[in-house]
Amino acid sequence: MIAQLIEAARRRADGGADALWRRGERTTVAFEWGRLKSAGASEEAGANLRVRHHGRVGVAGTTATAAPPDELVGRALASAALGEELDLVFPALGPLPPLTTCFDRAANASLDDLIGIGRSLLAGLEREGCRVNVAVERETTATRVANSGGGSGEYRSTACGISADVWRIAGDDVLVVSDALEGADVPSDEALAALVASINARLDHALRVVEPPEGALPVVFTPAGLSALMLPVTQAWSPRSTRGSITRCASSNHPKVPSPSSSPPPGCPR
Amino acid sequence: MIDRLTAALARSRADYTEIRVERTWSTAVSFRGRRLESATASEDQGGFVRALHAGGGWGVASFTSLDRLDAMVERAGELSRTVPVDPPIRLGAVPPHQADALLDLDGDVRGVPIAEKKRLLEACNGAMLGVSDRIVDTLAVYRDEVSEYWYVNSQGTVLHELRPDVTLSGTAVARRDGTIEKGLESIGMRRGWNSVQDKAPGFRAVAERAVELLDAPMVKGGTYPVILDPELAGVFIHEAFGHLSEADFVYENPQAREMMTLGRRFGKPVLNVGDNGAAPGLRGTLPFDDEGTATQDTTLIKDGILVGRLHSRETAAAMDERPTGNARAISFRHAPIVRMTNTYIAGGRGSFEDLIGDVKLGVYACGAFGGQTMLENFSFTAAYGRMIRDGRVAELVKDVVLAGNLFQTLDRIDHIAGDFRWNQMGGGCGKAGQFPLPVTEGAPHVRIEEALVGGDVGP
Repeated sequence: MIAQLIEAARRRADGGADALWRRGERTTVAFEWGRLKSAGASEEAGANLRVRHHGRVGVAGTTATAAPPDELVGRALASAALGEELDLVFPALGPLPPLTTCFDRAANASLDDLIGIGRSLLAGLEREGCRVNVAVERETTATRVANSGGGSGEYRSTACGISADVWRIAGDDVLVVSDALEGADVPSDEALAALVASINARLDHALRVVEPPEGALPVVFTPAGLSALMLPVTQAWSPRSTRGSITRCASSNHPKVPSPSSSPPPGCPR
Repeated sequence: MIDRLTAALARSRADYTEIRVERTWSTAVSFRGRRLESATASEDQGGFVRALHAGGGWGVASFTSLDRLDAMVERAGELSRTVPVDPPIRLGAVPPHQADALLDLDGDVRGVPIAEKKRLLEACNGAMLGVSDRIVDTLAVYRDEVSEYWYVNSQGTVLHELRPDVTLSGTAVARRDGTIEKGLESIGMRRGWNSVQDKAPGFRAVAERAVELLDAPMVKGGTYPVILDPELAGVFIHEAFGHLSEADFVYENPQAREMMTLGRRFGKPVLNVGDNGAAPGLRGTLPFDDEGTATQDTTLIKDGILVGRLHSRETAAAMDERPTGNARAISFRHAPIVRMTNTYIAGGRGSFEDLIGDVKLGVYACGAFGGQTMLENFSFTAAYGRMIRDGRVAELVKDVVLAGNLFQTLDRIDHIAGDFRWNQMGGGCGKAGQFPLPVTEGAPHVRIEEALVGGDVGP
């Protein structure tokens, strides 16, 4: 598809074009409140096109990959009509940098492997009076890029995301401690053990409740606690964030598994 | 499409199967300052299958190529079989529905050129920039989408819907020397192009307030009677209480279930709270949720007592209650989970003046800049505030941060006015990686007899 896209764009855009095509598959397992609850698979393909026309740049994306390339080109040109004036050079084919993005262990991990990771985390986090949620996710993607200058490339990549949270509710007092791992490969046993130890250590600390002092006092922030300090800044960047992902109780019930490679390119629909 | 989906359903070997397919056209335009930052149009399509075998967990599969429909139905069934769940998942009973619901597009945004959308946003952005040379930056964003939606399940429900959504938002940043203030405007509707015309005055007003705040003093920190305006009261009830009323928080957690026991008193008899997915014309409104359950008005707190919660079919069955039409997904990439729709504090009696009449010294907190809910504890930043002195609204103050414990704060709501309104804003709700889900909040003016207000605490 990507060659057809570039060819269609080359015919209609006077300043060149580049395109990205990506196909991804994701497998997920979720343990809710201590028990395995669901397993999922997803397949997704999409393309993103950037064109330069009359000195202006426009972008368009689609997951309707069977649609005629001219449709996507038309939308990218409409975007370019209002787009930024930019000198954009589309480089010719050159050597690609040696970079490992795909790990066999992650690519070949079976559903049972992912369930096994989840069970090992559950075993390390279970304790009296607490409930545990765990999510494990593995993704493989194939990506192709090309441009009207003759440049092109393709690569495969893998990603794994693991998250866990432990809830302790006593009367009206709700405590939740969570952590997550993300990377291109399946995490090692040591990394999983460190995640368990991190949650357990923080839970132990949090269970020792003391009355906070009142008044104007020096405050020391942990790295994680710095988010509170940064809140006004992040809110300034993202107006109306109050109903966003900062809602702790909302985001922890079904843990979100970060998937570093799943973000589409700018303009590509989600 | 429906024939294709029902044929795929017929081939499923699972005990329960549902399929959703969506096709979405969307546009986004944004300005930063006087510069057009982006103008894009996208098209997104795909499907989602969820299958359940007796004794199995959920098997789910999503895809972007309809050619893969049959394979993904088969895959979802296989995944369900590989996840044994004990006790088994049950689904609350829902009558099968067949409906073709095309919501009022009120000017189909798909027929409006992107250049027109740019002109509309440029007028709103220009209204902010034109207020004063103290306005040093703006961000203005226009988004629209129309989704065509198909849903079928193996219990006979067949739905086809056309769902519009349009939002306009703006931030004005005012600066004088080292002092920076901002004003926010946000409009969101489940309608179309006609509904967002002539909105520039609202953008101008927030820019004017940002300039005004440059000279306003910080509120003095302390404990005050606090009156929330309808916008902040709506955000408060959504964030601080609404998420706790989502049944997936409690249905398999005995401790959470005890905390949210029906019949527990949460507030004074003036307090009535609900969630209404069937309220006409709001962003959280849809005729059916993403499990094919008809939406409804669900009372959560009646006369101060917890009487209800929000359910999917699964949570309803697990708690021997009835589905409420609150299983929602932000797109075909996600499973439906329990979500709010249009959440509200019901109107009470009297006017705003009645709320402040006997307040000697208090704070009137208006609008919402942001906030954080840490389970039963919350903190919200109001967009601005005004002191209340001797029963009258007095000087403008800034940096009004409300903090407290949900249960204590709900119990301290002692007066609710009769001036209810829905806050039709953009943005959305986030949960479990599904953001932004269109929702609306509504409330009248609400008085908290005593609340902690953060601010200037002096040397």
